[in-house]
Amino acid sequence: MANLLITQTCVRSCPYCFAKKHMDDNDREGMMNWKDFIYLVDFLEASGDRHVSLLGGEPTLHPEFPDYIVYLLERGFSVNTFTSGIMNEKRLRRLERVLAGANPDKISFVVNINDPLKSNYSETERVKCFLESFGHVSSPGYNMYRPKFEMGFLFDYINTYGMRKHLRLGLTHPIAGKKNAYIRLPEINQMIETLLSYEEYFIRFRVKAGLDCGFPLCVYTDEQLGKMYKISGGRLTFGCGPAVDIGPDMMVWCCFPLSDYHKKSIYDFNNMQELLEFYREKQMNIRTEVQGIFEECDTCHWREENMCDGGCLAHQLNNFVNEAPVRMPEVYQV
Amino acid sequence: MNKMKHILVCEDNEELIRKFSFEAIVVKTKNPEHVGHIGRVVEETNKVHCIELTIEDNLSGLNPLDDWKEVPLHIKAPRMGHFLDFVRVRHLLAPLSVRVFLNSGYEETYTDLQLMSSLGINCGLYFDENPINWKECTDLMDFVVYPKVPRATVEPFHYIITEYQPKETINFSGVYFNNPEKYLHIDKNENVALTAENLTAGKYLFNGVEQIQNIAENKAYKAYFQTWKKKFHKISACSACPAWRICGGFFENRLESNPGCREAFSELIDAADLHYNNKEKENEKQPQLCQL
Repeated sequence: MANLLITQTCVRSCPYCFAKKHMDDNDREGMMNWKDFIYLVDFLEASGDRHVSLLGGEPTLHPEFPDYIVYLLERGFSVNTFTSGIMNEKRLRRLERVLAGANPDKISFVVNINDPLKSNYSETERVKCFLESFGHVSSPGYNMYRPKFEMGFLFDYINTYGMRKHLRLGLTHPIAGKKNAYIRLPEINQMIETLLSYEEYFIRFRVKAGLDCGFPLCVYTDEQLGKMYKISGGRLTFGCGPAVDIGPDMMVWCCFPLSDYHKKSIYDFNNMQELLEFYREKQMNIRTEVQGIFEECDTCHWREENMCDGGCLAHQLNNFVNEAPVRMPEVYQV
Repeated sequence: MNKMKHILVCEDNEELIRKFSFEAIVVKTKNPEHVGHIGRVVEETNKVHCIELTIEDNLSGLNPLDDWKEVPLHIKAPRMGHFLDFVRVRHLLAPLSVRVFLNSGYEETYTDLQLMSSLGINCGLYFDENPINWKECTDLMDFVVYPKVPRATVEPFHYIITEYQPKETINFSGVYFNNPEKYLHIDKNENVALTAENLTAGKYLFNGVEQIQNIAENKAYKAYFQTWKKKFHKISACSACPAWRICGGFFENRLESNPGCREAFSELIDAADLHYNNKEKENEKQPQLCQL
């Protein structure tokens, strides 16, 4: 599933934002137009893909956002939108009206929710308004950027607004060449402890945790792995592969933390398979140089068995930013 | 019955239509509520080739009627209108045998046709006195001739691509029922003309529908088919244009005020050539070994 960025501007400025570098380096006013959008939908359909994620910035800021969703539904796609849920009353009511008859199995939102105690009041109220309308087709997303954090409010939201019982958990990564808040390697253990302190909540409220990419296997103890296995509904992976983001300027890249790494034009590829192959090969090149985020990754049994990809590639590239260019040239193309 | 088998293009006039029998007829109407009825009138003793409905409002404001299912229909609308409203109309048009034409003079038309085609509605451009955005037109051509996925057709590009022969000319006016080799235009006073423009301008071949059966003997009719040669008596933009074979000087009148057709149609002829060669390769018989 590809991520289409239909806007490059956001209503928030989260300290961990992994799209920050991309948005700083590009035209914030840039929005995806209809013709490019149709091309991309054709591109995905030709690749046999009928799922698409809409991202930004904040995708709902795009004036044609409801139209784009309807167009995708008319083409037989299912649409997932990553949003803050923050929008004014007028936009919300319009979205409500347009999506009133839509098949709830075909649309979903991942609402990125920050701790209300650390957010401003009006922002939190807007998110609540959005969830009142679209909670039933939304699942919460939360980005862990500090080793200690509060996430009880997420379970409150799920219950209050009838949200889908799937919590997308993102591990924040460094953006090579940029300063953002992220979990340092020595902090990962503490972050996992904090996460697992909510195990009872996950079980009691029957919420499944969906871990985003970049978590290496070895940061868990066996006991933690067992708990994680349970709360993730048995879907526990330790990979780091190309997510594929496509911008309004029709440029494509591996994922946000690697948004400058071998950025290409979508017109360089005939289909998603070619595109994924290209980025997998580039990732392999880095992994030939450095196996993973820890020194131990070089000789790790689990990595050799392809059970773990050695953690987030952005972590690895970030280590090379300030060193002398002694490695393969690909490693420095940031 | 006309021996040349011309398809007759008539106004929405029952009295006129009832004068014909065993003809294929195109009826032009501006009344959406008359489409089904006039179709039935034609079918009494003739055959409906198509009903051409011209509307003044945007397509998205149209309310297709149940009895439209019985007839092949061309709808000429100035614009598509708002997308979300179009989606409602799209579901009503989908079961019909319909092709929608939008005015080439509006910027958004070229994107709207991509939208309509990608959502399965056969469509096309129609040209009037408004200037054509040739860059947008070329983008639309590329969309039509190099599709990534199957789509509905967009005219006249689809017609040109599929009818193209390397050593023959194409007259895509047929898409608009305006090719004198196939269509004759008749008004309620039984004036007969070769094209819709001639009919409007009063340039008639003759008066009286009974003369249609002898049209092959008509001097003006025979002369018309020699007129294209005159274009090559002197050097002009059209006579030196590599794409003349597929446009036949369709845009000759706007060459000075709205140039750009040469580049656009030259690109299209290259695409048509490629399409033709690919099709030929597909049709080539593969040598086969004897069956053992």
